[in-house]
Amino acid sequence: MMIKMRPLLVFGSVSLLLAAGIISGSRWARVHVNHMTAVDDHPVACWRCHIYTQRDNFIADLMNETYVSPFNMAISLDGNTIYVVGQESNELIVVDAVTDNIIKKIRVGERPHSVVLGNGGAFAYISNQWADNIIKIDLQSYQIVDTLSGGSGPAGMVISPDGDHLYCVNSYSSDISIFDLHTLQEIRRLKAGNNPVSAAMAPDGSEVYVSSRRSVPVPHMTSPVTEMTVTSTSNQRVSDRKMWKDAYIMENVRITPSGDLVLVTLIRPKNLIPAVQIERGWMMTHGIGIIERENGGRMVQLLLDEPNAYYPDPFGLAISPDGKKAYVSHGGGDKVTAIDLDQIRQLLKESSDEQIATYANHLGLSSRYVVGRIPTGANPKGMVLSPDGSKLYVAERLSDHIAVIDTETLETLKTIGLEGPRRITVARHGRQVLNNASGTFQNQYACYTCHPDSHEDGLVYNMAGTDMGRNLANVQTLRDIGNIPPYKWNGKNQSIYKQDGMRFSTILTRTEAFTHDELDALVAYIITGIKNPPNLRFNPHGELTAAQERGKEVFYRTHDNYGNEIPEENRCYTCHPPPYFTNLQMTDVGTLAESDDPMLFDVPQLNNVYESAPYLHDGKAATLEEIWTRFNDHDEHGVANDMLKDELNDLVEYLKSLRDAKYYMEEAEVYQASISNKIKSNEEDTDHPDY
Amino acid sequence: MKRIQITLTINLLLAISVAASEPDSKPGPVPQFGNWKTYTTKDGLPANKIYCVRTDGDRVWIGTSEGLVLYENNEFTTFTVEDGLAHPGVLSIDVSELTGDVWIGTLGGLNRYSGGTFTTFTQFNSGLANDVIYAVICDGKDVWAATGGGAGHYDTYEEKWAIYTERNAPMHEPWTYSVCAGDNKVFIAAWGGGVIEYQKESGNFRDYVDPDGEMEIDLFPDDGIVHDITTAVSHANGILWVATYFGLSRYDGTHWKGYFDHDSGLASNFINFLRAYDDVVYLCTDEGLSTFNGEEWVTYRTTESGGNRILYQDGVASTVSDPTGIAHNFTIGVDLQGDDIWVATSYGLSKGTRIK
Amino acid sequence: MISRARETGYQWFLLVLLIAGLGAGCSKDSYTGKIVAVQIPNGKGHSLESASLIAIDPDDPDLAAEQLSEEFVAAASPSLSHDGRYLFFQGKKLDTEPWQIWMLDLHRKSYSRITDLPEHCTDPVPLPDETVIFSRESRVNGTIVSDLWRCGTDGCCLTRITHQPALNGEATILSEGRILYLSSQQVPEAQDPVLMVMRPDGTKSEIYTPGCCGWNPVTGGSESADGYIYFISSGGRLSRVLHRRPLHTFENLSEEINGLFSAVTPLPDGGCLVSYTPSTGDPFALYTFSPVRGDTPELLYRGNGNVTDPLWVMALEERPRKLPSAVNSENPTGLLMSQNINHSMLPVHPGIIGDSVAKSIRISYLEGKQAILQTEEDGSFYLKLDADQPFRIETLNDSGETVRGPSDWIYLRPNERRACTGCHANPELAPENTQPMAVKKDPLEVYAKKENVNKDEEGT
Repeated sequence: MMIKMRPLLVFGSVSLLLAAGIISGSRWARVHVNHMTAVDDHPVACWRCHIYTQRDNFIADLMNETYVSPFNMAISLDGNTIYVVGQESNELIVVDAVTDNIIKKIRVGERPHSVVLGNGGAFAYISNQWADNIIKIDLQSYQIVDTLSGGSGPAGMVISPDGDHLYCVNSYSSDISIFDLHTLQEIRRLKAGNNPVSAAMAPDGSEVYVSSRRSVPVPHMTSPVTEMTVTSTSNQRVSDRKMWKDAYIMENVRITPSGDLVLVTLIRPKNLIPAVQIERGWMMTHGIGIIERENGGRMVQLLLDEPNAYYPDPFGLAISPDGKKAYVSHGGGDKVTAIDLDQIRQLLKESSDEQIATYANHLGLSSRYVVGRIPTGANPKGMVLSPDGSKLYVAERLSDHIAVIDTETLETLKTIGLEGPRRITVARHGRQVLNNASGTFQNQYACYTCHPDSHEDGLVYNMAGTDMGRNLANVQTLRDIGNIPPYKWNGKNQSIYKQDGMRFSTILTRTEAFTHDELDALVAYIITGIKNPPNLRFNPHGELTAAQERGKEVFYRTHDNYGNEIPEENRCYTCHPPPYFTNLQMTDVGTLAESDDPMLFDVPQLNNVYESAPYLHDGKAATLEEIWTRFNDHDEHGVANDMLKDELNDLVEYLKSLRDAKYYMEEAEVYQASISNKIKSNEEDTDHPDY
Repeated sequence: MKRIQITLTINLLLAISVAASEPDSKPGPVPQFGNWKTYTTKDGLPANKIYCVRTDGDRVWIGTSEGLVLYENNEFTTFTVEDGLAHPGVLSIDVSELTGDVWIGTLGGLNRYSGGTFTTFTQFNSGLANDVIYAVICDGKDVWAATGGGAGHYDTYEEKWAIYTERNAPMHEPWTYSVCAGDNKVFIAAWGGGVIEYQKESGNFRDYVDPDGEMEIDLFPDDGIVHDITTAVSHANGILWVATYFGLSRYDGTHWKGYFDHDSGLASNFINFLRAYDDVVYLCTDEGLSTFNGEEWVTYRTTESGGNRILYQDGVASTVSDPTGIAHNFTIGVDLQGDDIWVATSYGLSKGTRIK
Repeated sequence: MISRARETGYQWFLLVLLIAGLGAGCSKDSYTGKIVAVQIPNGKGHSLESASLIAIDPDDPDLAAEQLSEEFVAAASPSLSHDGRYLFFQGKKLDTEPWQIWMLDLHRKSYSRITDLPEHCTDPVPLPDETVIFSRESRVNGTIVSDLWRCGTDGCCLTRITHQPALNGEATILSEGRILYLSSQQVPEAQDPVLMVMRPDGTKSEIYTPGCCGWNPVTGGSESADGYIYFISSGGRLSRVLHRRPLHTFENLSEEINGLFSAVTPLPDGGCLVSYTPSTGDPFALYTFSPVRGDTPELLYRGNGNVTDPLWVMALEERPRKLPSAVNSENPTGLLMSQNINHSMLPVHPGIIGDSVAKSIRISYLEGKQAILQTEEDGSFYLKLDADQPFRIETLNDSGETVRGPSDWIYLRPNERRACTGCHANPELAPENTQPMAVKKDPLEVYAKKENVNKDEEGT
């Protein structure tokens, strides 16, 4: 009997232990998941958070795919060939528009943006936004034959009608490079608006219009104003800077064939108004801007939205050859809007300037000129029309397809596959969630709307978390934030799950929260899929300039110019250590405003900080300099008042050189070890004998 | 015999050095201007104190104590701080040949005016050294500003400022008053520091200071810059012209030559501003406008009955009366526009036409 | 070896299981594709006191209608859950009792009582989160009104969500998650009904459509798959508006049709199921109607008396959104902001003598209490008010004269933050992007429940 009991006892004990372990383990897992997600019903499935969010290892390689992500396009003069920029695959894809076959995939540079055809269609020019160059491809041999270099972040391009000059918009250096296409040299560079992206040539070749995405610097808490730069081609000088009030994210500009109208897509944010509701266009409205070239250049804004339906993130713009119709793609709404331009012409003709002034906010007006809404695949972006105007080709960026729409019936005829991966990975799904506005009430805006390119839109919002008018918040980037919790300026969100979870739906999106699957996918994409662009402008190779080196010394200094030791808690590197240049802590840097509730602020990361203006939690510092010249009277945000201007300039140069965290991993270790032992003496040389 | 040979040799050497200090070739004639017209607040200017003037094709940009003015199509248009001007006191203007952008130095910051819009750079929002901008020039894609806190170099492509002060350049204090470019160099007039030369290719500096030290008289003539209190520099045709409060200096890259009101046609040693075109330098003094090509002088002064044109060459002066004259003898700025000349004075803006 | 008895037992057990399974399978979907409607017997006119719920097979309309409310002396106002399984209705089992809300599980054919309240509870509409909104009668200053309430389908957590003194009812839920309801102000005087829309927690209540051209809505609205809201407007007119732009897309679909309509429900194929009579003498019957063709409706089913309020039993392809609630009952106040009170569509008060620019507002409560508050220079105001207390606003000039108003009744739910561009401004205008001066300060506190509520000093 005893002999038979022993195995039973052992088995029973083991089972009990196992059960206890499983029960307590699952209890712990429940508590853990509840804490990380801030809800109590998120599925307890470890892989959802811990596998989906893997980066830079073999698991990530298994989980992820490289998609094509078609972005902008060009079409041959005969309409038989479409040239598609594969933004993620770094390719130019040549598609036979008759057979729908892919003729060729040509490897181009990093993150290509646009393609234009020159020399009668014999060559293509592709702007590589993350490589700071333009490549020229022979469309007979499909070989890269030349490379052009100009400003930083080349994006939209146009070629003059005589074929002599290429105008390229540089989105990061905010200027326009003019190239001589015979010598392929840049002959001039003109200042444009902030983050320009698109260019259009007047049909008579006399002017180039360049649209921008971000607002020009405006006084704190005033409405954004975004510039459209007009360049005269006769003297290649800027002839006008048209300022679009209350508007931004002007992704694409086009001009009617007769030249009478300039059209541009735009968004009208309501960032200054307490964000207490979404109804009636209270957060974002979307539309087009129009310049009547023959009416003294009168500028008009019209909405494409309707009172209970919104069409967010207008991007692509195409105008029919007869100038009577325009098409706008809505990246956040998976739609294309068809517009009757004659109706708009009539509306403008019969409207006084006083009436026109009200149209920019009129949600009911679009029924007058919108003639159709065509559903598309995920995230429609660039568009081209066939030369006869009968077909509209739409790049469905997150579906890896080109939709072909019959412009007569306004129906999709077919889609052309670009041979992207068939499976939709979790991160890809997350990217679709981020770009799609179905997660907000009435589809009014998507995450992408305030975070274009998963970055930030440069605006300060009146989020009205508690009372209206308090706690203004400067939008923060989504790039490479996976390792830097907590989130929000007040640091209240310990994870991205919580950031985008239930409370997010209550106070921001005001509709049903993301499903668990959607949330997991969104988080996976945010953590794994959003990368910093290379900082080619200020730090292309990792070798700092002399000014940046000096600035680095200032950043790491432990004593001020008088030899006084700087308290450790007030040294730059204490709160901003590499690799992310945040210590993930909450702090007070003396920037609390009267409109803020008493709080500490989460230290922000500084990687790629050069492109994140304005600065501080409420965006009151328009430039990096202002952080210390205007908002650091008492040296609470680092000791800076002892510095001379050249020292501050050097510090700023260093900060501008900061790039992706991966470049600072070693430095993080080195400085962590060395800082505690390093003591700078009063006698340290403060001269800069650089002459 | 030996004595004669030595004397001849010395004379020959002296002759060679004199010849070397003289212009190699005959300079172009100094143009003469008359038919002066004066513009004041009565004509639409916002103020009568005119600090500077700069022409750009058919347009004339005017800096006053109460704003920036554009004269075009016979009309004055004033821009103030409400339009985006950094400060009403506009001390200097230049126009970029590359882009057509207008750069404006004011008492409260630097503006770029382009396409009808002002952009402001201050010491608070940018790497600009100091908000008091005495001079600004455009040199290709670069902009140089002489400020009260150092000289600033702005690369418009990189959007980067480099500032030069006594800490990193051979100036003994950072107050810079003027800047010009030429011969692949940039010259900075440093108040009390002579002229600082910046070599663009190497990034190196050197300075030109008065060998006589702080003496107000020119102890040894033509031994260097006449005085360290330099107020303006301008470079044309290989010649650097330097204005001081104590006379004029001319530098051909090897030799210096000084000019004073007591031994030349210079209207006054107190030179506020100068600008050189080809062989001719236009000098704004406190006692009239002088023009000089290295040999002959023409000075313009206003009188109660109009104005005078004082011609001076080889020690001989003659005066030509003019029914019209410049607005005021305290001249501050000058620029040419084809056959016209524009003169900024402390009481009005004057326009003269070339006498053919 | 198991005994024969045990084996037999197992066989019976398996058989019972099989039958139960089959039964369960058979009981599912037995009403999908059918039509549920309200039938009022001949001679009873339109009185619901004798109404019953019937189910009709549209493929065999001559088949006798199935009675769904045999246990009830009266049943009406059917509405369907989004999954097509549960039918909600108002019913009474005794003539003497008030209407209450009931739920019928169409699969099991079992009834659950949801409300047990002393007042009439009518017009239920189920929400996707297993709550239901219904209309509950009450009185304000002696006048009968009805408010919308919300509770769980088990009757718990009863909460009042509308507070204006009006007859509120015939609520429906839109696919976007908001609630559409018919509202007719009763105090201080009765007004024509309008369709209102609000969030399911009662916040953000605003006008949806007043109808058009002298025809106001007389029923609630039903949303079609192609984005229309169908309803009946006065005079028995079949009407619709586009949900995308309800204020300016009113269509009278029955302009060319003789006869009267009493109810409409849209069908998945783009058509409508209507309750219609070609002439006033005849009872209402069920017809199909095509808004595209606009022809005379085609008879589908004629019952014994008036047949109305039809529903097509089906599961929606996509359920309505569950909108989150910002209501927090621990906060007894709400915040209200207006960008500029002079931004208005209303005409200036005809009797005004002085300036037509308003500089202050008067808040008036039901009980007659009032408060006057100055606005900011830009015309903005920012107030903290009692939650769930209806009030009206007039704008006043420097002399205290009414410039515009009073407005309709407004109420804020606990913790609600609400903002307007003006005072009765064009509802199709999105706001200007400016920070109102008023929100740069703390809100002015206005409490109806406080003593001494003339708040001139408080407002300045």
